[in-house]
Amino acid sequence: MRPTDDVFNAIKKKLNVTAGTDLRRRLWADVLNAHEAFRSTRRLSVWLSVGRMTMRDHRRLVTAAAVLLIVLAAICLDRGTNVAWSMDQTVAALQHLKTIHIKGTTPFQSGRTDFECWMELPTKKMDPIRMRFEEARGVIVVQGDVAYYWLRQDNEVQIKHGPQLADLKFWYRASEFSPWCTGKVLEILKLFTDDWQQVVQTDPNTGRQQVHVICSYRPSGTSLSFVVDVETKLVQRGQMWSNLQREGDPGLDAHTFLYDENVPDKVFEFEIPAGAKVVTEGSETNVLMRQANGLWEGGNYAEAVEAFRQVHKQSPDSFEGKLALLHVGACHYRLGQLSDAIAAFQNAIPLYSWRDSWLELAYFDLGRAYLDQGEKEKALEAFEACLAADEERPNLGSGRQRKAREYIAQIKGD
Amino acid sequence: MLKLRLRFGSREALRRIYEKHLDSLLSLAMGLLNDAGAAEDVVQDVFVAFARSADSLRLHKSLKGYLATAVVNRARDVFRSRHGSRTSINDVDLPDVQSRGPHESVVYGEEARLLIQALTKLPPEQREVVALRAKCDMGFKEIARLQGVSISTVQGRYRYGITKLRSLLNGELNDETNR
Repeated sequence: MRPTDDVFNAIKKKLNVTAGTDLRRRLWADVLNAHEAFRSTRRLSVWLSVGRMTMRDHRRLVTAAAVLLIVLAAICLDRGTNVAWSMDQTVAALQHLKTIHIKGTTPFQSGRTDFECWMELPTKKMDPIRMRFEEARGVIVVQGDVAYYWLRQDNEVQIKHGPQLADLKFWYRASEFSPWCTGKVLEILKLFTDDWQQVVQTDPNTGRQQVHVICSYRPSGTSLSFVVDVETKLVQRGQMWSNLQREGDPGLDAHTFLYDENVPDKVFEFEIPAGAKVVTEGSETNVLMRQANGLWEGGNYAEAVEAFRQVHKQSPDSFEGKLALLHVGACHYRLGQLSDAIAAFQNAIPLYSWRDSWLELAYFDLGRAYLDQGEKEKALEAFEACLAADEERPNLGSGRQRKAREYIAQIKGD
Repeated sequence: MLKLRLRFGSREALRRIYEKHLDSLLSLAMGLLNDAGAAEDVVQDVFVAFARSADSLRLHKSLKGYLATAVVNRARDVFRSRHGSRTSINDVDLPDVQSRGPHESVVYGEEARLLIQALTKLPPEQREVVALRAKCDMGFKEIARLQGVSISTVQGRYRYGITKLRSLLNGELNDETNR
């Protein structure tokens, strides 16, 4: 081996950066958007240039004609045996709608709670997005480039604004609750899911033909099922599970879809509730949080831990303040200070009753810290709590559940 | 074939290219910039530009080389803008709190972090050569074309770069790669 090979191999094999699930999806949506623009403007010109090239040569012309006949025959045969439905048709149908109103249920405490979601779909690309999602725990209202997120329990309103909201960021937020609302998310699902299966059935109540689709997305440990009406091409029902086998109660069950309902403007308005704490993006705490995140990203965990602690101290009841405590634990964990990490995670857990995936994250990290410290019993408890916490949230699920199950199996096997 | 399908607007082809190259391009961008946010932005810009201009893709050229070259060029812009102007924290378009915490964003281990930090200490030209060779399997000839210098200059940069990395990383990495 040459003297330089060890360093070269280290970089080749160990400098591995991977995109997290959220980042992967976010980037893909932007790429897909860009590609859509390309498809609409260029596809025809590419075909025309191929056509011109083909017509210039006699042999190419004959070959092209033969290929065309085979393709046409295949299409005719296909139409003769299957119900014509493709995701593209649903996406196209969604693009002609003005509003979607979805009703359904989601787990809450030991039972389920109702949710409702209204969306006004932009008729032109430049039109503002308007959306309202409402359930027992909170309300999200998106008004173009301003989004309000009211956390009912904490009576806290987070206001986010700026040009970055014009992209899909808040559609993602919405899609976590109702991934079938937008054609874009459906397209992404079709492309990314591992085991897309669709069957045609007749609805016994209405006699209408429906396409039943099931699929799963392995990286996030999520599976979905939805029903599309063959005639309208629109989604009629959607369910989502935080496991790959569609076992147990779905994490989300959207049972009613009302299209082009007359939704009053008032639905998309938002009034800050009396006494609510308002956190605006760009506040001092927010800037400090970003600085702390920058230190974390640079691998400067010792300074990051102090910065995150400062965020929590400055604004202990805010969104950032609560999240910062979890990050304090993560920094200590990276620094190998397991006892401090455990203490931070334990302090953080009571703060997260339902919010997103934080509770699950905190228990997962706590479990790992205990495991590294050799305290298997406590680690087991934490991983089990992680799994239990996951069932409480209306989210897309995560690979952490799978990892937590692996850790549990490993501990029990020892 | 994948490139041909992409030229004809195939989303599936684009997805396969995206899935295949995303992580290696992120690794390259991180190796060049040592900044997760900037690396994400660079890779996003590259893929978005790629998706927009799929018709200009040359079918006989290496796709990985094409994308890696785009990442290097974009990273150079970022590098230049960083060193060309000093901005206050409030002026910078900083990432969203929820998307850039320790639990989100790009994911890499402790050893990768050490390697990235060591790479950052190399002069940019050497860093590019080492990162492109190691993460994108790019040949000296191709790198020479990208950097606009002779092959022997690129080989020299690679040698100096690796030697410096070796001294920087001395004792930091375990011997796993030599086994």
